[in-house]
Amino acid sequence: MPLKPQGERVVDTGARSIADAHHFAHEAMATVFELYIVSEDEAYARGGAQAAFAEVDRLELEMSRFIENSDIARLNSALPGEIVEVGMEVFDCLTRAVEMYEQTGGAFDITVGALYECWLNDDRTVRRPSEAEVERARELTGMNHLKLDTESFGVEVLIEGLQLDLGGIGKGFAAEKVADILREWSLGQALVLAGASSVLSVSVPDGMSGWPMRLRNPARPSEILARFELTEGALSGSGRQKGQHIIDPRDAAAGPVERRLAAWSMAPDALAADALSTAFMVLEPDEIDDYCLANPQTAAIVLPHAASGESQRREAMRFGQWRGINWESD
Amino acid sequence: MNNEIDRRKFMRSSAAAGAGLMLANSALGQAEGKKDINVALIGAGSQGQVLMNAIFKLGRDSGIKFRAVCDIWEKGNLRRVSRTLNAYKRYGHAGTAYVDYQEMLEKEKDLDAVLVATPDFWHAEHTIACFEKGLHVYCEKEMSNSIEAAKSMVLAGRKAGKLLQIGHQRRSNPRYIDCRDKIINEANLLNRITNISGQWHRSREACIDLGWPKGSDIPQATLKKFGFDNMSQFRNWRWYKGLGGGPIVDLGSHQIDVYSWFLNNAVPSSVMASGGVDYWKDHEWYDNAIAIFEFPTEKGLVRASYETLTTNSSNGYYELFMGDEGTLLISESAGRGELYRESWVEESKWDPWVQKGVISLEKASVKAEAKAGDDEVDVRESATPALYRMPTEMKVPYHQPHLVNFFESIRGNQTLNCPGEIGYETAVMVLKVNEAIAAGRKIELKPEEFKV
Repeated sequence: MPLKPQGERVVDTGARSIADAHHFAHEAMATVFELYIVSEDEAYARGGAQAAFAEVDRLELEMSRFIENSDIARLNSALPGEIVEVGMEVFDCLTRAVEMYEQTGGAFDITVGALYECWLNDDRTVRRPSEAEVERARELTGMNHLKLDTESFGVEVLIEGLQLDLGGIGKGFAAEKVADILREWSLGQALVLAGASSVLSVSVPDGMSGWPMRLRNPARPSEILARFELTEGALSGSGRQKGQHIIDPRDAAAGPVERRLAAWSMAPDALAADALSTAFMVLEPDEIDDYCLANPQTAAIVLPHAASGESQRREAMRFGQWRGINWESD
Repeated sequence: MNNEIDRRKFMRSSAAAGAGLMLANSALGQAEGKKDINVALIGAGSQGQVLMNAIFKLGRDSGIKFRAVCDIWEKGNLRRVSRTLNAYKRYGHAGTAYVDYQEMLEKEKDLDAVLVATPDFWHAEHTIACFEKGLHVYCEKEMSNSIEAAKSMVLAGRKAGKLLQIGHQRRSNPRYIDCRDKIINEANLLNRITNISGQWHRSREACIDLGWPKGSDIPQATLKKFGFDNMSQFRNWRWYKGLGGGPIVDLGSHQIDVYSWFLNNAVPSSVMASGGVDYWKDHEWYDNAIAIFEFPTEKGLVRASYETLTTNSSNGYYELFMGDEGTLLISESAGRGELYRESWVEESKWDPWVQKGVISLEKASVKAEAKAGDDEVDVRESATPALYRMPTEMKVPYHQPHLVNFFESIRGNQTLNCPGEIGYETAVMVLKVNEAIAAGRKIELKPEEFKV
């Protein structure tokens, strides 16, 4: 589901201003992947970027639900009893999706598509489904419907019609693979931007304390909610554009909810950061608090939905490592 | 919108039917007792890895077992595929790694078949060495960078009595097969095909030279031994004369092969072409090429053009077949396919094929109509042709059906979809394009030039 806005940057970087950071961009996964690489040799850095982008393209062919012979499309048309052999990467991604599903109590769920289809029209306006439709969508939601065979790379869907969508974590997963390739090329002083919403620091360049970051209020892009330096790990943001709806996978009957305007998360890896920013759009503040306490390397900022439709900086809630930091003095 | 929902429902039910069919097929294979086929891969670059992954996705019960891999780039390709093979150990694969293919063929005693995915100029030598060991060969296209060498591969296969499948994988793609067998041949929806065009355009970004990680260089002596001047030439062999053939061979070959195949394996009587080293000045092969073939067929002459660019990706890749009653656009690219009925052709002529599920109507023809009561015909817009789709889906990795066809042919259950003789015809067509560009004139081709 398009929780991650394409047009509006919810995470922004000042890496453009860093001397010697070469910038490379590539269109993939319905967004633009960007790399900032600090290296003396621009041609060599370009070679590494090219190898990294080629890997993203390869992953897209395996992970996109819109490509009819991708692993995900094959799973989406599979019947119970049929074992679908997926590639190593998709198997890994699904395994981690299940982990994030469990860790967030189902607030992050790659099977939530059925609920969106139930509650929204094709033009994304809210529709009134019948009770039977809601029940059917509820039945089709939940990662317990997916059986991963740990002895092979075989995956089985346990209910007919299950629809998987890696849109919420695919870009973060790809960013990690990009980081692996850049390290292999000894180009570790790099920052990976996977679209407007996911950022991964491969490592901080020599002589710098971190990659400069800005988090913007999606409702009023000129308002910067936070400035800080990303040293290690990943940052992800989910924002809701005007008229866009979100659904809590845990509560099929509730329909579209207006809990949040945006949520940002920081985590050691990019897939987790992606999954968390999605989950934090629906989790209650005490649940987010609990998560960040249990996972000390995580942090979050959540911007609640305001009646006016425009939340302000002072309303933002902070969790984990970011709790208690006075951003406004920046 | 109703049409869209119907189409989705239709696609979904056909997908389900397809899945059932796949299960039935694999059950059949098992019932007959699947003989294990031991394979090795020579050339573990990106294409070799595509083939390997397509085989892994056949599952652990496919009966296809990798015994060894060979690549001269130890710290690159060989390391990567060894890692992958190791992850699939539980499927019964072994990852013995070799740099020298002769050592591999000497030491690996229980091989049945070899996949050859090396640079074009190595294909003949690798393929023939495998035949001499009594092995079946799946060889990537282009069969060779020389017509003579391609011919020697076919002869060696015949002598050994072993199978040679050439990697024109569209020939086993169910979408392509249905277009040819049902839409063109059985239903004859295009009627007389008069023209074909096609293209594969890539962006400048996609065509910059490939690099390699620091410290991963192949030792100079190894490069020399295997015919490369340096590491950059090894990585970018497709651009060098004597090694590859440039984009017309890398990409055009797949599609020009389809031209011939869809014309029931007709071969052209002439080719003219233009191209040059116009943009990528440090390359040897033509960075853009435009070719025109003339195919004499039973129904009459078919004139076919083909174009490949390396500076602009507009419209990607596809093949377009134009008949006097309809148009077929097909691409290997996921789900891309369109079929148009010329607006003068009665809808009732195509309807039975919609009823049979061979095609589905997506958008009816919009005709200019006279309003009731008007004295004159008020032509507001010209008629647009009706748009149809082909419902057959390609639900497995692109190269998988072609590999399965090869393995099932070894097991005696199928015959090859692209045997060496067919691959040779395509190699002649494609290599003659480069010859025509160099000669700067139209080249006449005789039927016997396509025979081995």
